[in-house]
Amino acid sequence: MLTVKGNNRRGSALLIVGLSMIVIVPAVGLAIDGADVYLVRVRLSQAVDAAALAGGRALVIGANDSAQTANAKTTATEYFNANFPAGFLGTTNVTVSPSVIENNTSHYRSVVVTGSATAPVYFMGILKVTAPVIQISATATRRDVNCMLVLDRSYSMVMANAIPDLQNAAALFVNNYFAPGRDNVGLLTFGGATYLAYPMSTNFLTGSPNVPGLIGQLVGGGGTNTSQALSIAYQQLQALNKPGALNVIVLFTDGRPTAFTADFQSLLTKNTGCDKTTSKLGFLTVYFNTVTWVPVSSNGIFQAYDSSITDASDTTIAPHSTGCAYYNNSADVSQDVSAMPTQDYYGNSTNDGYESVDLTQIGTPTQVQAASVNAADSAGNRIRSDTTLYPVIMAIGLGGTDVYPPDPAFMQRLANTPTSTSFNSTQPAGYYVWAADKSQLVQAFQQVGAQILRLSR
Amino acid sequence: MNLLSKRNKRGAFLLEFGLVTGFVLVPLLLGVSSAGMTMVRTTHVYQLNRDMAHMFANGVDFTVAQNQALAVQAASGLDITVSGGNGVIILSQIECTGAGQAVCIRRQTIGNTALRSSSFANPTQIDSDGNVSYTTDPNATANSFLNVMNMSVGQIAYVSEMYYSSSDYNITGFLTGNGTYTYAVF
Repeated sequence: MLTVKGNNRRGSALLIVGLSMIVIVPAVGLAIDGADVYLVRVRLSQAVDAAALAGGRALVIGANDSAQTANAKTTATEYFNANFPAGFLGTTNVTVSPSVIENNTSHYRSVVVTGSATAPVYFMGILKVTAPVIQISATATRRDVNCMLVLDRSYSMVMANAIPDLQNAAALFVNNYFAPGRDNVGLLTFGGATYLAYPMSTNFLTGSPNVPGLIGQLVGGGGTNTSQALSIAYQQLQALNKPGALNVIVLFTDGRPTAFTADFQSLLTKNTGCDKTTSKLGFLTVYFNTVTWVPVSSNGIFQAYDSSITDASDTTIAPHSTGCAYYNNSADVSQDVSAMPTQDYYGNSTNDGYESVDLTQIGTPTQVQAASVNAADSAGNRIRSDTTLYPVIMAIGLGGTDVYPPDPAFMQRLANTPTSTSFNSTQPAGYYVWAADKSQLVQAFQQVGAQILRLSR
Repeated sequence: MNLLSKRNKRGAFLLEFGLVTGFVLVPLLLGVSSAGMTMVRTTHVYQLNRDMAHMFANGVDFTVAQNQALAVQAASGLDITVSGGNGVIILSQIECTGAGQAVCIRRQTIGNTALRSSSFANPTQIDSDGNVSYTTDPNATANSFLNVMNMSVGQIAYVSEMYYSSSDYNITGFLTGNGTYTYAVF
């Protein structure tokens, strides 16, 4: 039996506590060092995560692939260092190693960032425990982007002097959010007629002319033939045919659709001297009183395509129209054409969609407007239904210029935003941003650009 | 005599044990507990701040009520509400507008904004969507951010700052800390 006798009992508590400290102190040290290592790991993880994302964003900076790769690596390193400065939390041997991996078959590039640091061991070092090296990797993938920029240049934009603001915002957008030599960007402008100003190309900045330069030449005027503009933009994506990349149509408009394009030949049932043997391809539109902005007449049939970026008159009568009543007075189109067609030239439905319409009332401007809205709605639905390219529609609506500004419910439906009451979860979700006035256009395009970067990762 | 001696010896043992406990074991226990709680909380704050920065950089709009609720949910375990609580999350979109010039172009906050302001910029002209009128607001200047990271013209950084007060650790009146502050740049 172990007993403590006499004076030996004095100091026994100190002895017991002292001996227990041999266990307690290392245990406490292990807990503190372990927690510290975990903290380093968390922060290192943050740093590589941030670096990879920022590197992915930087893949759009630079005139070509190699410059973009170099920029991505530099940016990744900067963001890593911002989040994990040298010596942070007592670490040593902090390194960061960014790299870029390209996949030209599936049209994407990945930024891989690996960071490492030696964590400090304040207590366990006394016990000769080796300082742990923590290594963490993060990857951000950026899909190549094929973007068709569709700009409304209608007369209301001219009246509100909003064209310069649009030019500035759109040019910044093209300059800042796409990778030259890698992404494809095209430009299409529209009023009643449409002009394919720049077919989709990777030379959108380096070409002559280039997209920002063409945007700077944009001239306003005419109606709002949204369905034709969307349809031609979609044709561009189809011609490029790059599944796997992010295929996106960015639509800017300041008003509701007021025109659509069709071949009216089969509807020439009236005997007005109009040649019924030739195509009557062109657009039908609504004319407004430019003081009261009340719709006053249905007008057509006008030539559907502009000849240049500066051609915005929208008043050239369609070919083969000599002898037709509308040839002399475009408001007399209903004297030649008996009704509006059920489909526009591109196969978009004019009577099955967002608004109810009586197609026989071709002379009634509100009915032409309803058919135009339906055609645009149908175009959007047709584009989003493509299960090969999965095109995304992003829309920007501008207020303060048109008495009939974009209908937010319609625009959300067109873009298929998750907030839309008619959101279709089987189709790609898009994005709609509202600019209340022209001063907000730069910001609106920035928001769309941020969304494109987000989706392309 | 013997009985008294034994009592004295027992008393000495208890006295020693009491002194050792009071001056060594209890402070050690309190210290370890305090350090442990601080570590756990710091880790929590770091992770939450990183997640917030990640979401913000990916376009999540924290002026939207649903997204604010998401942030508050992510902060469960910490006392943070949409506009109050014991911590604050400050989200800033900072853009370099010229050589040596950076401005905060977007600002969104969640939590108790009275606890701490941003270390980089404190704009006052902010609309309901969080957009800063940086061309007219002198407080939107964020040049101090350039000490954290060099930026080229047009470059954008998504910054999340988080502060969490440690006032609830003031158990005995002398454990009060200044709280945990961290930032993440995405």
